[in-house]
Amino acid sequence: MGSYRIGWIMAVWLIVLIFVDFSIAQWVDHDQLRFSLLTIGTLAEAIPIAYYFMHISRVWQGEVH
Amino acid sequence: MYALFSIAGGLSTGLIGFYLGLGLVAIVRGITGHDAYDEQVSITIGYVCGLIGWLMGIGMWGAWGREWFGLRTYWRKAPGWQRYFTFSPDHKVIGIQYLVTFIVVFLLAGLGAMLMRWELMESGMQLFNHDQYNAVMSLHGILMVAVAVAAVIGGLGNYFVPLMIGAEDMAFPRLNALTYWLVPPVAAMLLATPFLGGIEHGWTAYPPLSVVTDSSQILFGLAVITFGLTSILGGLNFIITIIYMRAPGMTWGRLPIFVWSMFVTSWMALLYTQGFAVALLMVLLDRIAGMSFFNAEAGGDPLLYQHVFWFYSHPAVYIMVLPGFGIALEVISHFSRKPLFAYRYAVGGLLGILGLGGVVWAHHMFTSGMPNYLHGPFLVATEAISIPTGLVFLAALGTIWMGRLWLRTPMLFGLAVIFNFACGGVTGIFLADVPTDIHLQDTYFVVAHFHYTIVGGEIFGLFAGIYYWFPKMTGRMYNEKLAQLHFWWMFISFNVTFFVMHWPGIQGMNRRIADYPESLENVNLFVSISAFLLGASFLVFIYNMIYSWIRGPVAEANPWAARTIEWQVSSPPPVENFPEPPVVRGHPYDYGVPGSVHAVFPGAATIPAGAGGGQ
Amino acid sequence: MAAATHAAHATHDSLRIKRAGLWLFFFSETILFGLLMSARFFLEGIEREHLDQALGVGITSILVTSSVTAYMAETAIEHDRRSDAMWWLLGTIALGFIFAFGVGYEWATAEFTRHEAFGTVFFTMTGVHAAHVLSGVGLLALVAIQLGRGRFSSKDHWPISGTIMYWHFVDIVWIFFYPTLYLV
Repeated sequence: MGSYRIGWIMAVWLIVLIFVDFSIAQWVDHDQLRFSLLTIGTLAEAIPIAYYFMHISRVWQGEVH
Repeated sequence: MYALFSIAGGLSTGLIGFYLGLGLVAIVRGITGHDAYDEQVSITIGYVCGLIGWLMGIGMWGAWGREWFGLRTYWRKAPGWQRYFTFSPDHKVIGIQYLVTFIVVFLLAGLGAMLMRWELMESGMQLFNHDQYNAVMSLHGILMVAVAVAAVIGGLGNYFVPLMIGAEDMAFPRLNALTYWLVPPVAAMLLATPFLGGIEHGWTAYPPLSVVTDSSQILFGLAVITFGLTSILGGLNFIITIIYMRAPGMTWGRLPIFVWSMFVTSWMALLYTQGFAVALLMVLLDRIAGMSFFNAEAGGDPLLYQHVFWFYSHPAVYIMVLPGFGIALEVISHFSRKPLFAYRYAVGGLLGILGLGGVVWAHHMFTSGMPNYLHGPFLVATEAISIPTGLVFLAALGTIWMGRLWLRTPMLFGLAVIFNFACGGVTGIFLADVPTDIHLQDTYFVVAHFHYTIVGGEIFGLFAGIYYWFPKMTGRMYNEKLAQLHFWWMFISFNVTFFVMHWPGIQGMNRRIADYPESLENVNLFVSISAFLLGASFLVFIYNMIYSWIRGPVAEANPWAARTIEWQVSSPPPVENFPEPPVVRGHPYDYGVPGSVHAVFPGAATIPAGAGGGQ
Repeated sequence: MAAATHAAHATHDSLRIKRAGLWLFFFSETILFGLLMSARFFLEGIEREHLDQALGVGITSILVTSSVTAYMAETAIEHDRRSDAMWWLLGTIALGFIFAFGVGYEWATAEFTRHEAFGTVFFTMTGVHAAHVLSGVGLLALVAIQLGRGRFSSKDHWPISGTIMYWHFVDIVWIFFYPTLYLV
């Protein structure tokens, strides 16, 4: 998969998740459930950023282009 | 001349930065319609700008800052002793810088302790009023905490970790220099606090007192946050160095135990130091910006401070004492002429302390009013930490067992670490148990306990390390008779002072208070006199160090016939550390194991390493 | 030949060391931000105060988009497309500024003051984060200037990569702060 294409897919994924998070906050009334869902949503954004954008695997795999 | 130029340059850019900061505050406040000068805000902004100016002026601009703008970098190269006053990337220079600075700070803070003991000789007030006593007590506390956190890590760690793992330098030499040059402003700020009224909240800075007290608290907060930065960046540097810079063949199982202890300590510094910085940042914001983290009227909670603060400050005691353990084990193995007993378990013990150290902080808060259900878990976790500590102790005892002990000064100090910390550990049990702690909280029992652990565990370790590595650092040998005199003098007066100090604590004498009931006068007089003796013992040390550094007999490359890599190069080591890169073939402590070698230098004509079978 | 291999190995290694060091720095910063988040939950539980929700979701989208443009800039320089990289960098800087203005607008229109508990944690958390955003913008500007002078290439782009990693990290912090402050 080309590097640029990863960028575009990630853009869509992140924007969609932001609005999913936003909707959860508006429509889920149960406190613990909302908290858990938001945690999951947040991790679903943060982990791909760390993996695809920040190239965390290069720490142990070395530089690959 | 170079030295003067370097320091004067740093000071002048620092002052320019400070006044620029003041001017900036004055302009912004003038525009928004306030008084041009507000003590707290002006000092804060001025300090930040001054700190940047100082760093740039001392040499960071040439060595680092120019690179950010795409310019060519340069180093100021100074000859001889003058390099200790420049922004130098050499870890050996930085190690000496740290060590000398913190010995000076140690003596200043010790002077504070002497003054306190003078005041406490009789009940009633003689030398100080209450505010002055508080200022001296707080200054003694925070300066000694700084010494305990950075003297071994910054001094001996910087000097010897790269040498012991066979690296030519630390992973980030410029960052290393930066961490040292943040220290002088910290010391200057802390020593300036008495001129703004003196800090009166001890080194812990609990709100609400720290929020309402005089402006010297600002200096305290800024200094400690800066010092936290030093600690974090130093820890980061050590971790990366130890992971990536080891010589070929230096596997994790062959790492000298001192390097292991530095590795664990660095993780603790990296993970927890933010706690102190964030806690003091909150205090600063409460003071400067009128926020209400700790103002219970507006929904804040002073207990928040204690949680965040102890989140760092309990692991901090392991940051202080683990390098002491590392030095003690290192020295005990070399001077017992035996392989280090249960090396793997000792490393496991260090890692266990790293794991458990982060979940015990609230045992400082048993009387603070936190929910009762938290008492049990923190009691259990605190007592559980004696298990990994016990592993480290058993490794030391097993190494001594049936060894051929060579009782030179470093070994004496190493053995004293084991003895003293055992005393400190036993008294710790009473403070970890909630029922006894409720009686003993904030008494001199606590003071005696933590002096036994930190002074007995770390400062004795620091002296073991200084004597052990003195020939390597200076190329000269210290005077053994004076060193032994220093040891016995310090060891006996230390134990007398702090062993007796438990007693007024059990009687309920409160710490941090300048006065006490008359019935405790005799015991306090006794403690004071032995404390003065303890203080006097360091004069022997200072005389020995200065005289031996200048006039001592020239030391051999390996006076202890030790096997680790730092002893296989000349004393002091050449700038590039190893003329030929070392290759590690075996375990560092295999004394008396037939045919074992630790390190060889394949490029060198002769092979000096692997020596050290016997004395 | 042997010497050349050795030198190449050394630069490769030092790049790896720098990358690991930067990650450790992020790790350390994570604890700092985590403590601030814990302070928010310690003082306020999971109570939610009234905030401008539309503004919140707007600035979050902008910061996340800036992360995408930063990634594009890094990818472009890895493929030696300097002018593309320059445009993506400038876009990232612009989005960073818009985010900072958004936070400033939120500060100006907030319905609570800094003297009450929620205001305290809100202004502290957004303030510390905004300081990171602004320093990130500064760093991006520095590398953009050097890029304009023709410094970087696919072989030598660590300053760009490091700065952009920092930018992504600041973005991740906001991804956690946003629900903590606005949504919980």
